[in-house]
Amino acid sequence: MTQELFFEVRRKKAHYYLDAEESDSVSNLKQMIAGILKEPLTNVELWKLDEEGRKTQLLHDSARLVDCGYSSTNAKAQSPAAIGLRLIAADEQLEMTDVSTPPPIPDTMRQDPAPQD
Amino acid sequence: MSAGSSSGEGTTTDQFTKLKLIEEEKEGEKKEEQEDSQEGSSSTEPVKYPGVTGENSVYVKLVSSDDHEYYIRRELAEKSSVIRDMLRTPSGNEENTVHLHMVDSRILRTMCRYLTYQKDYIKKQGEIEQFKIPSDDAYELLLVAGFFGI
Repeated sequence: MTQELFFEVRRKKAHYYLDAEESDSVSNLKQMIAGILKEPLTNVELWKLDEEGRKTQLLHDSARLVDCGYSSTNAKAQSPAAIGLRLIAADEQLEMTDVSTPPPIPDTMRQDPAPQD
Repeated sequence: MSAGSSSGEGTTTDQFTKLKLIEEEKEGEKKEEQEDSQEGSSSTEPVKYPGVTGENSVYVKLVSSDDHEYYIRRELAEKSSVIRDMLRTPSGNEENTVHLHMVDSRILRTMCRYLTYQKDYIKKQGEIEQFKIPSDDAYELLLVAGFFGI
């Protein structure tokens, strides 16, 4: 039974939430991005990111997602695996803007979060 | 927000509905493609990649207050009736974009992840992983959940 993996592809200020099977190939993800952005496949480049968000490794089309090290432990629905996107024609390098940082919590609010229903 | 606690429902019916949803989604995509090309919207080219029709049907774009764009599947976004209405009312909304000026990018990110999580775990039975919420965001997430009806 193949696992469904969840990815968050990031480029500058955009985030694309995609899901694919672990037996799918990298080119499958590229096709989805190309479809959303209406860019040609050859313009799409995907990078594997390390924990600090820096690029580590270029993902090749023929590789399967599971072979790239993505499994259901690091690519869950509630914490998708981050992948960097570079458009070859437009971007010189891989860049991603960070999301906002939380405001400091006043001491009066420092308590357990409300339980989920 | 409701966690995936309703997991003990009929499994076979879930599987059937899931299959139906996929089939309907495919048919819906094709229909929307034809409509969109007639309206002369952005995707006038024939679809090269099956299963993904780009911005117009499968994915929608949610924009946060600091201009972070979140592309999620339409079916997930429409879990929130507020977002669904926002997507449907503006005329000529070919890009299927909703600008959420009151929502922070961090909160929107958590919300998108939660929607994916909810959809994924509704069809699973047995053990379900709990959705972790960073306590810094908990208050804002509570407000957002109430507003969007999630």
